[in-house]
Amino acid sequence: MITIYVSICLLSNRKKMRCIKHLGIVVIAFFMSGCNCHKEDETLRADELFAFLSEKQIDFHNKCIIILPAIGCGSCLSSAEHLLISRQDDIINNKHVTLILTNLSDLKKFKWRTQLSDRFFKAENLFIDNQDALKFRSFYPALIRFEQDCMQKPVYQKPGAEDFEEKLLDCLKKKLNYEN
Amino acid sequence: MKNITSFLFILWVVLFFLFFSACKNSSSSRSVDVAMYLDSLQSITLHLDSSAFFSSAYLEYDLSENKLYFLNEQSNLIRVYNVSTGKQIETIQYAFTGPDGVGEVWGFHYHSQDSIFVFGKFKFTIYLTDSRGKVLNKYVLTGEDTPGYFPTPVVHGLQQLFFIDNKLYFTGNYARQRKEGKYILPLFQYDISSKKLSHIGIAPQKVHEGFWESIDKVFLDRMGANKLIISNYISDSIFVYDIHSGKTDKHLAKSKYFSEQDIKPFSSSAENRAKDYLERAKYHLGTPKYHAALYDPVNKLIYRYVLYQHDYKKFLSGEPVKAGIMVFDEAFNKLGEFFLPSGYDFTMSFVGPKGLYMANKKAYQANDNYLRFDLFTFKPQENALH
Repeated sequence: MITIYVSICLLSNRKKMRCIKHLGIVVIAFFMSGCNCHKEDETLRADELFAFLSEKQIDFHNKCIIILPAIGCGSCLSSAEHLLISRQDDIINNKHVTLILTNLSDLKKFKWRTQLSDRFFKAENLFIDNQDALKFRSFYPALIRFEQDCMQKPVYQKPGAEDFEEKLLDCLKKKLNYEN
Repeated sequence: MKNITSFLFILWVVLFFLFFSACKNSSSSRSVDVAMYLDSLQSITLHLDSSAFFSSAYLEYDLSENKLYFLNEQSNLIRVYNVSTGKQIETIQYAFTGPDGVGEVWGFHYHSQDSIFVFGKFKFTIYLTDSRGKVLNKYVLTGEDTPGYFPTPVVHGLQQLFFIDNKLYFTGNYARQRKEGKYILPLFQYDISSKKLSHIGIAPQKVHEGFWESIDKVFLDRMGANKLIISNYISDSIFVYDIHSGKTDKHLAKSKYFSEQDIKPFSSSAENRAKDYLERAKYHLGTPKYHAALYDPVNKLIYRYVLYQHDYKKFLSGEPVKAGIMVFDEAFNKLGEFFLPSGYDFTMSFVGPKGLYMANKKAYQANDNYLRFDLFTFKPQENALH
């Protein structure tokens, strides 16, 4: 876009200074729009998440990504697991939601503990990262929404925080609205 | 002339003391004498059924029977494995409630088929059961002979339980004497005949003030017929309690990478700690600490586990927590200190038929129908891991 603008501007015999001034505005606008995307926080880096999603060929355009780590805050993980169990029918093969179970060192135990159905583990929108490829280092489950391809600030399932469940239900409702 | 003689006399005395102290140091601080070997050919492999997993909150090995007792806390049962075949030969199911209810099993001691001692979480009771899980007797762990101290008995993980001369021995978490601000190492003795609990509070020590944030555990193992070895998170020393004499010896068992002065208390108040999980995690990663000590009667060695200081940011970038093991002979001469290889979890270890066995997580992840314990040996030979 910038290249095209510069080319047209210079070819149209306008004053170079004006072109550069306009170019500056375009560049600032470009970076301003980029700033709306969440880049990183203490435990999640957007570039690492993008690399993981690309490698696994996961489409994240206008989607919600739920990341559930295996270790961390026990009560927070239990709450998130409970949500998965109670909402599994809504989550399985939901095109608006992708679930990543990461750093899962004991899948057998996870299956036994949650008693989630075989359908759940065969779902197309479930990714099991038992090699720790995502390098997700949060102690809390996370929900990340993408608006277009722009990552929004992650919402974590922390003690006392109710955002996670609320946002997850919002993501799931997208499916219901879509179907209706 | 007299001055010269005096000078020479003093010089010889000084040289003698210097020589003597140098000899003393060289014998008491022996450097690495052994190397660590990992012998996967001598592994013990257990066959796991669909409800048995890598982790167990409590393991016990019986040398005379060559059996491994494995607590499956999710199902509230003890699995008994024949170590030679790796096959599960028995399960002991426990009820949570009812006439045979023991609550959530946290630890146990398998004395014989009709004498299994079981510790119920938050019950502060040890139950005597048979191998069908039937409660034969119960011992409530309350004592009135410990004024000023408020210890919590715990039988869990590497805080083991032993039955010697009709008495049960176990530890708990630190107790603090409120008036003097001193902490003591809690060791308990319960006489099952008189049903009397005695709190053998050994080795009072002034430790850092502040809230200790779950690094207040005290670990126990048996050393020979009459001795118990006690280790804790925050002391450079291991304590040996002689059951017959009632005396306690203190032995230096210090890491070469840190000392007890580096182990700081958690700064946040108890009120906030439950909420602030991240702060707790940062604290635990950033604080080096000692862990359990195990006695190896086969190789006549003592092992002490260590958790080294880790950087939170390095942890976030994927660098795993570093754990280590220190090795001592029976006289507590330090023979070596080694980093444990990745994929091994020392909380899943026991001293078995040939020495120290530790669960191999990578092997389990490759095939979760089996649980493999690899043999760690410590010998002065070549081809060692370190």
